[in-house]
Amino acid sequence: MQTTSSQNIEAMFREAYKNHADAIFRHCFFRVFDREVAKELTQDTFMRTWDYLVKKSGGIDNIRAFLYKTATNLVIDNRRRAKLRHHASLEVLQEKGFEPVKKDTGANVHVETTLAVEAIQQLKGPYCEVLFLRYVHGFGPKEISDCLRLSENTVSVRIHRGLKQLQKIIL
Amino acid sequence: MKRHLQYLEQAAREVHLREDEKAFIKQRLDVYMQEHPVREHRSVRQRMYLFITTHPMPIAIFALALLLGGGTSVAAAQSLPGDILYPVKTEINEPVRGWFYLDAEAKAEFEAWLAERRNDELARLETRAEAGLSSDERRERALEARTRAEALFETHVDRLNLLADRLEEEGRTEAAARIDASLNHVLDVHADIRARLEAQSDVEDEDMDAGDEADDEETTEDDENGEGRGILNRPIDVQNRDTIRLKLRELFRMDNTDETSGSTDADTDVEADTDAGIETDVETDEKLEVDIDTNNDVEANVDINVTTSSGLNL
Repeated sequence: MQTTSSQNIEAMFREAYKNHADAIFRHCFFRVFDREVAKELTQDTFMRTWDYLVKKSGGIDNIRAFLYKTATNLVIDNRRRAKLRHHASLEVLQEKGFEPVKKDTGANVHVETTLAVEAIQQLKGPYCEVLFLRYVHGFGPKEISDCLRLSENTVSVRIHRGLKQLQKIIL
Repeated sequence: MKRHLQYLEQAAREVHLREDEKAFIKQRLDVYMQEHPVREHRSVRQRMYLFITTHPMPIAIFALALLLGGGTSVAAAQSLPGDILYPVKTEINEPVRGWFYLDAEAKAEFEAWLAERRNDELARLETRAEAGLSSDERRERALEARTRAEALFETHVDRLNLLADRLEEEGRTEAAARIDASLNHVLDVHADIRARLEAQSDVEDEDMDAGDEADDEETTEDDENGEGRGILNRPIDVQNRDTIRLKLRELFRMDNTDETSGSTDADTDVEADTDAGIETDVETDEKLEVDIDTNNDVEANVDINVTTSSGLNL
């Protein structure tokens, strides 16, 4: 018979899946640019989180941050295994089915969006990370700092520098 | 650039799992959760407390065994031959301790230490003997204890010799010489203790003989007064000749040649060849003949008191 605490853990986990599954999927998708792989990584992220909960038999203070951190680690592992080029060209990605935006939204929007994705991919790791969280997930500096376990100030600095570099690339 | 990022934000909002994909992943997660259920996590202290409270009896038995075992082992260390705990000392404590000596020289030193320990025990037996042995039974027990300690001492000496030989064979002559020196020392000490014990034993024998003579004199005085009851007159339930013969044979501890005179009056003819102290009580109403022949230096004291009117030849 399961105890109340284990039932609480299960409830918390189900709630986290309900609230964050899409965001984690998006997080993975904008790094691997493969829907199936992103789905696998999303599932693995939640399984790892469950394992952690079982092992510690306790809650996690910030489960969203934990999920993002786990997802990021899994993406990195996946890249190492697949030897996927981090800076894959947009053409190659589109051949693999990457469509960040629907084509019927207008040729101009489509081009500018893909340009932005390609430009962010060219950034260095830390800037790429914060800009994706900022503009793909729509997180504020506080949420990003929670996810990456950095200070808010560091996050703001990285966003600022990342945007400067992105500007150079796009313009 | 702001425009680019705005478009990216809009595009990102459209990237999400479809409902069927979400349900499928959820289903797989449910299976995974069932296969890996949450277990109650307890600290080591909590687990120990739980174990103790749920298994009180085995723990109590274990603690008691540990306490008694340890206590017995410690108590046995001071025991002497003949004590109840002495086998624990020689059969358990010492062999277990010996397991930790692997090298031949270390083993030899341990055996030398054991031999010294046996010497010490013999010396303590000597002290204990001086406290006085009031009865034959205690004297016999002391003798057994001494024999036991000496047998063990011999075992240690044999092992020491073997180990010294092995060390010599291995070319460790200095170690072998040290072991020989230890061996000679323990043998010297042992010889001294043994000599003292034997001297003490002789004194006790003399004391006992003196005691016997005093008893004899007392008996004679009683006889003279006509009040004594002679040794042959003390009541024993022996009523026939065969029983008398068996009784005599047993008490005389002799390699007897038992001859019956064949006389029609049922004489009993016994020849005894022994140096043992003999005392026998026989009551009979038949004719009894006892021959005692001694050819050693021991004086044969024969006291037979007769309070019967039937014929008795001595």
